[in-house]
Amino acid sequence: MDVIAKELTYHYNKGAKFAVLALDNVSISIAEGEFFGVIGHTGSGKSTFIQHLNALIPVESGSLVIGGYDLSIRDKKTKKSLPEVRKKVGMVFQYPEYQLFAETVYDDVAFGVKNFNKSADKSIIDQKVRKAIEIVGLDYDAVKDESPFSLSGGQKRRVAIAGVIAVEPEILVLDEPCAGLDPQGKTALWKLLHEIHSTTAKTVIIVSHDMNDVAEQCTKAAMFDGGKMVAVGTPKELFSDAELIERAGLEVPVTCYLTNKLKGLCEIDSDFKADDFARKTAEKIRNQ
Amino acid sequence: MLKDVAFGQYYPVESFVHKMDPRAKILYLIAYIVLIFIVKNFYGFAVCLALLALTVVFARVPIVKVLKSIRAILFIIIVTFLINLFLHREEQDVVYFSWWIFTVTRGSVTFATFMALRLITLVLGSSILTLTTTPVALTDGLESLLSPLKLVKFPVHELALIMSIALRFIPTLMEETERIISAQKARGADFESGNIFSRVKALIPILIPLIISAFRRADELGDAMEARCYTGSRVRTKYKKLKFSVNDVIALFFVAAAFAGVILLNVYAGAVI
Ligand SMILES: Nc1ncnc2c1ncn2[C@@H]1O[C@H](COP(=O)(O)OP(=O)(O)OP(=O)(O)O)[C@@H](O)[C@H]1O
Ligand SMILES: [Mg+2]
Repeated sequence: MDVIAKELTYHYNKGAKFAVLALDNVSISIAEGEFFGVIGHTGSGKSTFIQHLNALIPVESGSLVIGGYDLSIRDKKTKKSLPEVRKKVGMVFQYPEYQLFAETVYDDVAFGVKNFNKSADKSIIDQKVRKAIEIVGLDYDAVKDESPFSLSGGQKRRVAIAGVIAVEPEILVLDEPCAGLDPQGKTALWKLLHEIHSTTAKTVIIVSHDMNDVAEQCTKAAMFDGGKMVAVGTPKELFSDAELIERAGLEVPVTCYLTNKLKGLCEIDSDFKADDFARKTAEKIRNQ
Repeated sequence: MLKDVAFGQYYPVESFVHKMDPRAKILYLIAYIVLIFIVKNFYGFAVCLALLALTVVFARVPIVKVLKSIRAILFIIIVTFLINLFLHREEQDVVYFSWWIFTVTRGSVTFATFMALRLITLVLGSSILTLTTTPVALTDGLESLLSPLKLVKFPVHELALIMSIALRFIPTLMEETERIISAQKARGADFESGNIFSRVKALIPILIPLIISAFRRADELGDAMEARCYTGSRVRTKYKKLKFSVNDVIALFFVAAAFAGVILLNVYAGAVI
């Protein structure tokens, strides 16, 4: 399923005195298979954009087509297909652990599965829940009967993510999933996301504030500034224009910073991934 | 948006009424409420309405904003009106209409109209207070008015603090609710279909995270207050001291005049109720 947005515009509190233009003519297309980053300064409209993707925010003007579903048409048929869209586009909000509610980890993870597969057998649900809990790196038999509130912060977040991937969405959307995690937790989470990307979800769309992560992990990224999408491309293309990045109030990744610092001394043409950068720099130094 | 419901309805402009002391406004509102409960005839009501209209003009608040407050209790007004209209009985009355236990009489029409007017003027008056006074000023005013109760060890300051914290967190909790609703919708929760039981059950995934987060916030707020050496009312002074001004005195004249007018009318113009 591809995501194609054309001239998407959205105001909060439209018509009121305090209307906020949160999205301004955003045209973007995200092909299936991408590990897509969404970056931008705080308040630039990232969350607003991704909430459009599973119809939590209705299209105000412009168009948005996801797979076969045109979310910009507002009729009964589209409304009926909303559950399908939400099933295929999984959404993990920021601090998803605050949305846990059930008595056991099992029940919480099964919530979405049951909602989207109303007539499914218990054995099928069991199987999906077990798979999801195992993918996020928890021990199914150890945690399934625990209360989600007795887990650690990192474990809670894993449970919350499991609740979304248990539905097996084709597109997985995450809003700053790394916020508030320690470095190890972060590394583990990225690994987990790549695993999900290579197994259940074909496309991953992720909002991130850390440009190093984006350079390291994403195949493509779009940059937002003041509700507009100001640039899109591979991390290499994006971060090559350091001025553009800084104008949007962001910092370039360390590798990019170093590349610019070393300019004149030695030209390094890496894709800004740490490994690639280190290898190419070493090579250059050896040659000179 | 949930956030838009009645709260935070403070209308930020500069006006005669906005500048009044919150204590004066609260006291005058109480006086006004007493007034609309002792009114005995429609002339007296005209006086109350004149006072109300004068206040709206001096508050520089759009009349639509004031009228909107009726919407919240419109249902109650209509129901009480109908109940009074059909079921109110008076001795020796002109009967207009009668069926089964329902009768409409001249007395019941007057009574029902009167009661509805009372409710409406009551709500309109109160809404002017909240439209022209910030929640903070309102709690400050209440605290100050209730302070004599400190003599009997009543925790006035704490009560006011609880109120202002509650008011402060209403928008936050609304926002949180909206976020949780979105998150559960994304997981396929359905709040709109099914019978009443399944709808109530569908609220659990919203309420539990909401309650938990309210407790978490309460904990954090408590810690933050303690970290800033908050110790309660004993030694606290205020940054903004409340002070009565000339506006309050002028307003007092109008309220007193209305009172006098209503009492005179009650005595001389006869009672319809
Ligand atoms: N519920 C809301 N009501 C009114 N305005 C809102 C609401 N949510 C967001 N906004 C406004 O819309 C704009 C875009 O917000 P959005 O949440 O999409 O930003 P963001 O890029 O996700 O920021 P962050 O990185 O801080 O999460 C901001 O100016 C914000 O103030
Ligand atoms: Mg955001």
